[in-house]
Amino acid sequence: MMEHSKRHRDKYQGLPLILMILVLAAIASVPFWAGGGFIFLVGLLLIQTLFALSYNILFGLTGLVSFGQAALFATGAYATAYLMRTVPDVPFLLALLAGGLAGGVIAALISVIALRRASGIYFAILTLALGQLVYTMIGKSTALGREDGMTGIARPVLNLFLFEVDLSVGDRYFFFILAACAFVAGLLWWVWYGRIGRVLYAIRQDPERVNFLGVNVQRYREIAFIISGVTTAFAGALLGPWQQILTPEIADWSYSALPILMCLLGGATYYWGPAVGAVLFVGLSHATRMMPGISELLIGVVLLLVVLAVPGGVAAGLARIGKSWRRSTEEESI
Amino acid sequence: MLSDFGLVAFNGLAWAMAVFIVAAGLTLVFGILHVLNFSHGGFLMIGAYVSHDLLSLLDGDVSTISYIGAALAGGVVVGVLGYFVDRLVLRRLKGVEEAYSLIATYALLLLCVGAVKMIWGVNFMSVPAPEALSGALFYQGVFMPTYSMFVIGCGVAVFLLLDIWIRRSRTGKLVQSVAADPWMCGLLGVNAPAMYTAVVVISFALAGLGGGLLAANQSLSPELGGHYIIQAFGVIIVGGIGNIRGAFLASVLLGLVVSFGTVYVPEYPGIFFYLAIVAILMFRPEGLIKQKGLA
Amino acid sequence: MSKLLEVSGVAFSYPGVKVLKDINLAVGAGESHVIIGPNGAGKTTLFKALSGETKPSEGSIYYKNDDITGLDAWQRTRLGFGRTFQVARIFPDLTVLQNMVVAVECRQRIAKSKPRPWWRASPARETIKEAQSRLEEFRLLSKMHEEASVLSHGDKKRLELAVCLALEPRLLMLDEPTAGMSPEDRIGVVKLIQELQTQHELTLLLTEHDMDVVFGLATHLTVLSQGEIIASGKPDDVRNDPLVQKVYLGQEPHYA
Repeated sequence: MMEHSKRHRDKYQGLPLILMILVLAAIASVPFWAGGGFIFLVGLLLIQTLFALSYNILFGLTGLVSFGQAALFATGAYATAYLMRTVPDVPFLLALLAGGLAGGVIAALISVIALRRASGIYFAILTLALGQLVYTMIGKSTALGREDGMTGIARPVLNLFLFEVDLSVGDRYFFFILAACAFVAGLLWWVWYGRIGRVLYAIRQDPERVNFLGVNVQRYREIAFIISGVTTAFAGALLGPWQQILTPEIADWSYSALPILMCLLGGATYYWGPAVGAVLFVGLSHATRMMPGISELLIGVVLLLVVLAVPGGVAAGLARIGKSWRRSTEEESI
Repeated sequence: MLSDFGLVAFNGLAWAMAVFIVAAGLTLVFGILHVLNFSHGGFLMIGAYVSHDLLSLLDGDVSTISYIGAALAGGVVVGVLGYFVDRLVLRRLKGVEEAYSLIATYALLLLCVGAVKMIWGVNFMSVPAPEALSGALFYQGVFMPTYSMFVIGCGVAVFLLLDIWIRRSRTGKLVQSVAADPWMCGLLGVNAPAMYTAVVVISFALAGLGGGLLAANQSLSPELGGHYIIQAFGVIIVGGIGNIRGAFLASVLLGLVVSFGTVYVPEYPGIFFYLAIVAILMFRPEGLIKQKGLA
Repeated sequence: MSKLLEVSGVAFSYPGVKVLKDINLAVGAGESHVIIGPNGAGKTTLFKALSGETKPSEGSIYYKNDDITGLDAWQRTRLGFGRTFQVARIFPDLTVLQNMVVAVECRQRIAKSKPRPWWRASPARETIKEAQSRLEEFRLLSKMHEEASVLSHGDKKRLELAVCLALEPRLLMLDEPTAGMSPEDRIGVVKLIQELQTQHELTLLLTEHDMDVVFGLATHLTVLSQGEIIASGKPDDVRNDPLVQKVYLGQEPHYA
């Protein structure tokens, strides 16, 4: 069987807590030593990582290949930005939640239509078509600025009941992105390693068997789609105030391919695989941005290698090293 | 009223035949290899760029013959590329899950886009249509560019050639058999891998040729590949994957739909295309033509 | 004896081909009902119609007097159906224990019982305990950390049975349970099935090719030929039915 679907349960349910804290601290330290351009890039990276982690709930966990997730990302981005523009006093957290919810609604619609035929190719193409539908609607809508998009999106004031934080000052919005992404990533971690995740992973391996375990497989696939849609849209919602501009291209199908790349690059069967992939991808794109065509060539080659030769991605390679290193300390675990 | 109908029909056909030229090779490869080649559009784009370069070597106006000749040259170049792509990549996708092979061919598309950006740059280029095809007919109130009629002619020609080849010729029937049951064919002494390679090369050559034929009157850019492939996907999914007649039918149907949308709802171009795909797939998930097989 | 499952006038057609014609069948609680017939007789089609994988073109299926014809497989499972496959279906990338945990959690889901605490991601202690005790019943506990894909053919079948029974079904449908097995393994499986039937008060509905297994296990027999039932009843009666002998038993003696 394809190694793509192998998954290992390790003692630490992903990564040791210490490592996670170190990584978070390292990211949080960036504004203190890096320049504005780099800070912007890392903020973007955090948002892309959340996008990729959300995608993996569909891809690595449930085994669904959707080519239309960018539409959900853009829905969240535009919904939140539009809300903040038309209702100036709306609490920022509420606007973000609304963006996420909008993504959930669109995801529910897409899933109901596309999941009638969950077989690989048809599902992929249907999600592609539906995603392009959303892209056209966003791109041609006057209220959303058509091709020029929405500009001048401000970083708002965050109302935390006891006090207010003006996120437009300094690098505060960066820390907000970090906190928000970490929080939502934590929620997704709980989905991945919890009861829902266990059922979804079983569905990925053998949906017929799961049917005969009394589970409405269709319903659970829809649930996976909606969860992924909400968090994807939430990631998109964070983007507006960060970039302070939104353009329709974030809804285009080529943008949908990004999380797929990241999941495969980093390893789709590990929870944090997509994060590794995101770092690699953003790093590669940024390093080659001055040379037109190089980034596509590089990414294309790497992707081909991953699919053909190293199916588990970077994370699988690391895990293999880690497995032999941990073999001596292995005790009974689930 | 009649001229409106004529406009929709004519433009619809022109769109349909252009997309069919793309879809034909795509559905051929899927029918025999069961791989949906995302990069088909990318190679079409390369064919277009190659013929552009060849044509720019000629000073002055381009004649119809040299236009077609350049397109054929594009087809040959891409056909050769197809041979290597088959050996290096497509063959290895035999046992891979459907969706993963889609990702692999998407990677190939990225390679095409990257190569185009590197070799030809990101700026828009254009290929002028040959003198003889630059005019237009005005008939019954419908404006019919000669070039569009040329495209329609090419599309129909490609369909007839492929259809006759697949159904009537010995090699065509052989290809059908290999597509249906490669193991059995192997037992009967048919060299299935060679057939696969041959079909892939034909499909790529068709892509390159199509790129050259469709190059005029539009801007060449690295985005071209992606644009065409999406439309081709829609057509072959609706027509029933792996079925040439289905692809033809679906092209015409979707062409009329798109054309209708362009004329009557111009504020949201392309929306009818996606709506139609969604609607058709919801009621007929297998596509318009139910029977399996290339023919 | 009250009838657990009743099949009335069920027919199944593909375009142009009538695979099943007017099937009428009744399975009583506690029976071991075996369906036999030559290849192509329609056994698999009938099986799939009963399990909910396909919908019959005509006719109705009743379970405990309720019409279940329109219900999907997962709904029938919730009513008490269980199903094993000719090639055992388990979750290959999970360990034996993880397989069982999934099954136990599915049972909990149906019974709407939430183990405490609900907020922990890992399976609850009680869930693991239950999974382990069920594995022990099937003598798979020693292999609990092995990946299911590396199990032997026989072990996979046992795991599949264990997973099925974790849902505590009333009617267990077994599709050729001894397919591809050596004679010794076959005896073992038959013994296991008989034990399970008594311990768990199961009604069995199975298809089989091996006549030794069939006559060793069956309390009732139904013979299918070319989409129709040609005989149904106690094994000895069916065995001596002249039509059955002509069509099936006479031509294919023991199936090794």
